[in-house]
Amino acid sequence: MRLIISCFLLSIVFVGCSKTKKDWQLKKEIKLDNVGPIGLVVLNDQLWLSDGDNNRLVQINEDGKIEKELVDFDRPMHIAVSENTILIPEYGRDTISTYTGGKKAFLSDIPKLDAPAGVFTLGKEMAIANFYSNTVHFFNGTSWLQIGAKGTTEGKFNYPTDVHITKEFIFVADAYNHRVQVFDKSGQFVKVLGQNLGINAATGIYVADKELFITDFENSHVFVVSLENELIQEITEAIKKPTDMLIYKEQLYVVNYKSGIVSVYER
Amino acid sequence: MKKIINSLLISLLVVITATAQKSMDEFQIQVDGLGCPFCAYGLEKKFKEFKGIKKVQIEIQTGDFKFEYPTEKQLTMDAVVNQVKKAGYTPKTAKITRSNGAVETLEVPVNSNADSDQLITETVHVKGNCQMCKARIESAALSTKGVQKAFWNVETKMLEVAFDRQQISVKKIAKNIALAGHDAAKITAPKEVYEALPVCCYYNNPNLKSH
Repeated sequence: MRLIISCFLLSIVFVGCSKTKKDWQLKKEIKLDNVGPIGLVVLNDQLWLSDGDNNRLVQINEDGKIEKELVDFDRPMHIAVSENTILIPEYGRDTISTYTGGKKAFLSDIPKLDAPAGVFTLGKEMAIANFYSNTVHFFNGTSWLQIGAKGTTEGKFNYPTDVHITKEFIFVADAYNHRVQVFDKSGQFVKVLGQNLGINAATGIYVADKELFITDFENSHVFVVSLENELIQEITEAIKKPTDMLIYKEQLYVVNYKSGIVSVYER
Repeated sequence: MKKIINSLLISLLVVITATAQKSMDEFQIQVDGLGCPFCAYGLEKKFKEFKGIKKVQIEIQTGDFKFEYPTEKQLTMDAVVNQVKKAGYTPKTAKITRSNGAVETLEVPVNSNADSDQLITETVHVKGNCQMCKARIESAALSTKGVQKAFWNVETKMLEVAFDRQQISVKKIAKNIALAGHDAAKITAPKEVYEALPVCCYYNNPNLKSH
């Protein structure tokens, strides 16, 4: 009998631990000083934010203090990192800028853009969310491919704002279709994620090994879903108009545009 | 003599340059409900495409929208306000400082001469999606003669409106709201007005499900 009770108790503890491990818990909030953050990357162990409202990029420390500032961008949005370079989509200038080792430049040989809202790279591949033309441009290492058109059905976009590339797929934050869409690397539609969550504006995405993180800007939520579209967690604590996320050193960083706070979670 | 002519020419050049620099009118509009950076930056971007426009700038937190426009184009207050509304935004106040120093201001009406004895409050279903919708819906209601108060709940989509029943009816208030782009009661917004709304306001998207 004792053995049965012990096994039962151990099972409860095990289940409890498993559940705790799954949930992201708020660890801290990093208050920023006069920053309207949109995008977030880590470059050489430093956090960088695009400050859309103030047309700049800022590098912050763990207390939110600005340690470096790059100015003269025109509404920088969802930024990305490629080796030692930050890629900056300039929404107001219709271009992708780069910042490498203290030098700024522009990407050449890219498709014509109209308000690029997000960029992502993986190896030689690159994807750009082209907001006003309702398309995603994908560079497969050799040539550019155009995905999508304006619309509400599968494979079409209503103002895409962010992109993410994995080994197999391209994920697109189809912001005002209130969902995330997945495409293969030939540009073929694969599936929709998050369409059942009541998302009001899917403005930012981050893809981890087995999970997709989605910011719902209007409803101030972050959704964590499996790649099979099962809801894993809905984060609302310390979330105020979120725009971007990433996982860094096993912690989840969420950028909150409205409150000017980077919320950090762990599990 | 050469020196005098040179001086005169330089003076003339300075005057011409100064005149050219001053021949821009300054526009300052305060816009309500600028919550979404994607839409707000879009407004800024679209305005930048107008020929001759300079120094377009939007401060999202305050809703201040500024730009300069050539005096010779004689851009009127009505035209500016209408253009901002056409772009889907809700102006609260506007100020034009002409290049000759003249100042024009506009307070967009938010309350009318409602008789408090005749006031009644009713609730109307109005379609919308976000804070920008809220600003537009409430502004459309409040600019209707006879309406004293208007509050639209983003979650429930219900508009609570207090108005003078001697001056106006719910149907007319709903019609004005529909003309601003939002289906109200059973009155549908004109297609072209709906389609001109900022993207975050598209409440009829079939993929939009309530949370």
